[in-house]
Amino acid sequence: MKESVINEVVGGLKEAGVKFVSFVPDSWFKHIYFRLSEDPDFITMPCSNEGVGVGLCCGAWLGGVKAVMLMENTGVRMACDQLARLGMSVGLPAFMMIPYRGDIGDKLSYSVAHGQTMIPVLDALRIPYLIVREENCIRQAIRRCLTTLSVTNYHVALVMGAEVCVEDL
Amino acid sequence: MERIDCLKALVPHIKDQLVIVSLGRTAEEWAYVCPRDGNLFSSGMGNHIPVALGLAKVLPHRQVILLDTDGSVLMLLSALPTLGAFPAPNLKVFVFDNEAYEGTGSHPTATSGSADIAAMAQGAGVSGAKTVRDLDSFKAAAEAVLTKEGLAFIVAKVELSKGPMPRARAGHREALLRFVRYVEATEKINILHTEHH
Repeated sequence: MKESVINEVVGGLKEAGVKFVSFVPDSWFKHIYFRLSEDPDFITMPCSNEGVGVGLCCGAWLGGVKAVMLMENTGVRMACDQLARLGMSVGLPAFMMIPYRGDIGDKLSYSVAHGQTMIPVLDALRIPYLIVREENCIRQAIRRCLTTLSVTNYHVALVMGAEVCVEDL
Repeated sequence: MERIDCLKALVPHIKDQLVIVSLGRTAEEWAYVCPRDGNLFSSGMGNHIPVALGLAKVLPHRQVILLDTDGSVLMLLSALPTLGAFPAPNLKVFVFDNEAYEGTGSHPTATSGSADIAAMAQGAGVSGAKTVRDLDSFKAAAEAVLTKEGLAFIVAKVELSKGPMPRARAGHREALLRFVRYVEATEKINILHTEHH
């Protein structure tokens, strides 16, 4: 991931007022995790299961703090039950940023299934999403997602396409 | 030890704490003994530790109490190492362990056999986790942890409930709205969206 993309993500999160970050690592986002973890403007809480991270973000929302869950798109599958219970049954929302593993051009075969299942699972959970494919759209996309989360009190996902995540496509 | 007696013992300690409550009869009993807008009822099986921890982390000046259950903790055990790694000193976790899925016919949970939630929490880094087995011990432990700083994790071994279920409580959405408005009022913040044309 280019340094300029990392800057857009971190800057966009700050501009949008995000203060709380949870994540389960993914190789496409790894530089973002390091930057956020070192930045005193964020409370960062890595975890070992995406469902836990989604719950942490919902707890932060309850305390009036904007939060983001960064996770590989396999995390949407892992966190299905937590997303459904928290979002649909209770009304607690989480904002997720997700690299589009398995996107056209992903060089790893194990990612193919991640890409094939992500959008159908998001659709099944009624989670609206944006797919960002240009660096100069990142800040606005973060802003838009958080606006929709606030208006709907429901989860929103920002999917980062291969164009912005990978330098040597 | 009966859970409702434990819950009654907590009531005198409740002032402006934010109380996250698990599901089933634990929620019904808490709603009965301590009705207030500062209670958030079930965030869904397994979700209570993450939600309470996230809340405690962003409001470090506010005591957050979690009333959880064995079935819920067992459902998302990977919350424990996160709790161990980020021990919010204002978070007080009570797990009422009746060794059964009481709401669905009391089929036994894993804690009716060899599983030990306090031991698992300790192994995950929650160093003060412990189990209490009688009401006096519960009262003493609650008094101790609620009056000082530090993450608390107390597993209370309780019997299956007796008698009829207490009165019905508000639904999830109504309870959530009341809770959020309570947080907004007491923290003097805005959480819910306001319309601007």
